[in-house]
Amino acid sequence: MRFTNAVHQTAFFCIIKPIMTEGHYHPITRMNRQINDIFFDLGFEVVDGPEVEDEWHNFDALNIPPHHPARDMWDTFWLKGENPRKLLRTHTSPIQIRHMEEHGAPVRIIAPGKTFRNEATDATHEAQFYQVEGLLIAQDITMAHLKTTLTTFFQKLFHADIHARLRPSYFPFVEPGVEMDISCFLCESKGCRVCKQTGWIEVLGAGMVHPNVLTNVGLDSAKWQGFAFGGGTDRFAMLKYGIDDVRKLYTGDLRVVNQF
Amino acid sequence: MLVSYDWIQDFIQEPLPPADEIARELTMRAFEVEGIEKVGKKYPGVIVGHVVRIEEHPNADRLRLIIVDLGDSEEHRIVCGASNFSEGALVPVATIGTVLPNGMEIKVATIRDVESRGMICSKAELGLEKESDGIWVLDSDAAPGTLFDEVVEGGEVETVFDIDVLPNRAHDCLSHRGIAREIAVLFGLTFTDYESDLEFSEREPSEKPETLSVLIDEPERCRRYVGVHLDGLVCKESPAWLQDRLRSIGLRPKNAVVDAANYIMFSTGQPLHAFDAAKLGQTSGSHMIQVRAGRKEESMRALDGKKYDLPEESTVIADASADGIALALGGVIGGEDSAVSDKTTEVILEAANFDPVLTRKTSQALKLATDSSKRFENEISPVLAPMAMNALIVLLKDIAGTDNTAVRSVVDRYPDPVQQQSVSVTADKVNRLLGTEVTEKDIVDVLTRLSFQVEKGNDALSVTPPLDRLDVTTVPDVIEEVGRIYGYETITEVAPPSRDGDVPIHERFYWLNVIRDELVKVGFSEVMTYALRKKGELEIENPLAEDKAFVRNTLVDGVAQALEHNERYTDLLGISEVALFEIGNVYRDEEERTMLSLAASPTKRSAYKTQEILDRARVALTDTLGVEVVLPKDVPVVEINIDKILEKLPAPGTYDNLTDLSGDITYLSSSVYPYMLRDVALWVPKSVSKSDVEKVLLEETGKLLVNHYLFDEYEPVEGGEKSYAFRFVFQSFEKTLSDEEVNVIMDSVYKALDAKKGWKTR
Repeated sequence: MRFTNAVHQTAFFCIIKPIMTEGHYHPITRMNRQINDIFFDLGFEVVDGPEVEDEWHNFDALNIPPHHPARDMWDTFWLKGENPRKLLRTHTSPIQIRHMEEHGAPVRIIAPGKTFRNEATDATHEAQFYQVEGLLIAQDITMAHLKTTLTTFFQKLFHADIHARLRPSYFPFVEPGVEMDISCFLCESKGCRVCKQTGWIEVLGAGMVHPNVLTNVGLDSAKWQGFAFGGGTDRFAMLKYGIDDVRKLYTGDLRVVNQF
Repeated sequence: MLVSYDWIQDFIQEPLPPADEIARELTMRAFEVEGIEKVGKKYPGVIVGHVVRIEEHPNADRLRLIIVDLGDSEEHRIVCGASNFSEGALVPVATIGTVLPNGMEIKVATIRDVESRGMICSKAELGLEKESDGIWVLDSDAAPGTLFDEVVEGGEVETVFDIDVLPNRAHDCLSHRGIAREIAVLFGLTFTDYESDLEFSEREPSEKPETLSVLIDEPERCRRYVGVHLDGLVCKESPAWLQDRLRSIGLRPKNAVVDAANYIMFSTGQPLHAFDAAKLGQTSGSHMIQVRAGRKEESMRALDGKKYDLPEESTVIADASADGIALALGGVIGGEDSAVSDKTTEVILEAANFDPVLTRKTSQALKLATDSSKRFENEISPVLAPMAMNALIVLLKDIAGTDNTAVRSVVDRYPDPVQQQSVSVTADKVNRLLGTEVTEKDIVDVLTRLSFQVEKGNDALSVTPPLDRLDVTTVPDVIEEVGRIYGYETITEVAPPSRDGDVPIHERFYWLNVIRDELVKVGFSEVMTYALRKKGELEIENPLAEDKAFVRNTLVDGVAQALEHNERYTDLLGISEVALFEIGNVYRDEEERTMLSLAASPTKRSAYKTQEILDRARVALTDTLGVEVVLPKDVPVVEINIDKILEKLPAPGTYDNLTDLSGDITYLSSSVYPYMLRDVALWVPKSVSKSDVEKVLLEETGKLLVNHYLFDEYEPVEGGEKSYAFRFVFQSFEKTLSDEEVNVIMDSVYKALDAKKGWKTR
């Protein structure tokens, strides 16, 4: 931390006033920077996309057709007056669609960004939050690569000897779909409040990209395959720094920010 | 979905493994079990309490205040009249909401001005003896909070899982049958399924004419309709075992017919409905059910007592013998006019298969999601309808049957039976996607356990899933089945091949972070404020709140609020100025733009004015970016379009010059209580340094001091003394501090300072 002093001298006395200290980064910025540093070393390129999205990129292209009950997994803010109607992106996954539509394959990207969900807020849910999406498409990418890439990421992010486990889950844009847990680095898997005494922390959803998604962006699903993942940046920040309430990140409160 | 352990056991021949083992296996190989709850069956709501303390009742000699530990690390106070127990005793406590055997419901009560939360029970109050002369003191070493059923002889405990069944398995696993089938596969147990044929179809007496006909207008609305006319019933209260089962998964029992239909729905996953046949019309001695689209301006009063205007996409079950009036909203809810009551003796039973999309549209249009609509919108298999109907009739004959109970008619309209498609899979395909080393034998083993038909071809396996597994239609679907059952833990870790060529540097990401670095260096702190606001150009159709109904078109409002908010905390934070920035997207002039907002507010202690602070940012950005950055003048909160600046910047070659932000930081919550300030000024000899004084101060201030800083230093040229002035910030995490509490601390500070030779406070 830099500390500058200005000295005003007169004949009788001198007053020393602290006038400027360095400012502070928002914890999400700290997190985004670290995520990029780690994935850059793993060969992943940053891409971004709009927060105001259309239905195709946010849902249809991701194998979530209209009137599919899976749409209930994302409580969506719909916008008035546009035809076709628009929405606030509910995840960073539309960025992968936009990227593949434009650049084809192979793909090796991460997409950090702000997302929105129309849900009641509490200590672990906020209507706006950040996610990071990852996508690796080539000809022989497997779930073993997925597990290894993400284990490495979390080891570097949390500076801990972490191991991971995959559990079956469901996201329409991947098949198989998995949920990833990491061993609790806070208690070394002995059981604590954060891991709810299980020794495991749920950190993200992932899976092997669904052939329909590849087809939707014009790729040959017989030739290309790969993995995708999406995790909550806010949640990573809360875990890494011990922040107890996600809502504190968006109140503009320096009592929070000045600690970072 | 809530799933009962005992109910699952009905489908499994062998005894089930313990609940926690089931939960672990399901979570790792099928669905996430979010919780296991135990419910007392004989003594619901009664738990073991440990008497921590006994106090006198302030207003009654015969009553005592019992402080009990119920295992939740809180102290619960119960007013009690009995005196046959003392501190340390274990006693049965009926918690709030419990209904005792005598019908008494335990509520929060105020007894002689003291609030009492629960009741400490005697044997009589628990229905175990006629009269008791005191509380039942337990001879047990059970932990506080243990279910009473677990410690008392003859008690019974029901275990209920809370399972998160995801949309891809909702069609077959929003049911005890579906979950039981998964458990049987995971543990190698024998699964006993329901009969799937309409074995009850031998009507009696068969020479009588049909009493039910079913017409389906558009087969795409309703793929299958199984209807049965059953009479000779007594629709009384259902038996205790059935009521218990329904209650254990959170349902309220009504009467035998309704309970049976609900029970079979939660058992098979097939929604069922019963109409009171006496309330339906007849044509030539036959009831006529018609399945048709909702009509314009048609409405119906539903079972929930509300009148609904039927949307056009809705499917109506109509009474063709009574002017086609709506009897039910197919797949969603039944109508009140044809509802079963305790006087019902004959029913028309329905097990149908309604279109998922139309059901979902209807449910959304009416804002009415029911257990039925939730299942249909996930597209259940038509093979479930006869299976469920079969089970329903067997159950109704058992719990509501009489000697006269008879199936009068059976109708099964199923014009286009489903065919399951086979999928061609090889071990190579599985391993190529999962990165595993499974063999063909492993695949055959897993899929056979899942009741898939597997045929060996020349170079691939031909795999056909059971008729009710509608989710398995492609190769990756089959691979997922193999992967999850075989176990993802068998995947060994392998790093992906490295990238061909350099990783491109993202210009926006790079430059926005350069801007952040520069602003932080010149004293600005980064905030992120709400993007949904009271005003804007883009309105949200379904906002969370009125003041969050627009996408912001400026950052200024949020940043101005943050500025004002933080001005209150400059003392607490020990800062002489509030300087903020936000980088974020707004929606303005029909496009999404990235903006930078800057804000400044100096305190009286700052040497700078607002404009000077903002200029610091402007100069830093202009110097670093190499383009002229212009900020609006003479306002404390400014905003510029960053996209315009980014356009002028060169492509970066590396991220290396960004500040490293990977350090570990431990966040501390701030207190919600107000803070108090105290200033101390003192004269000391010139040889005494700031830290000498600080050391003495901090020995006295204690844990309530959250911040302190030197705010003035004064040294006259003449004489041998100098003056220091410190500001202290006191705050508690537990309460609002009083002046007196802080004064006590300050008194000891003054005393310590004045005790030093040559120091004097002023």
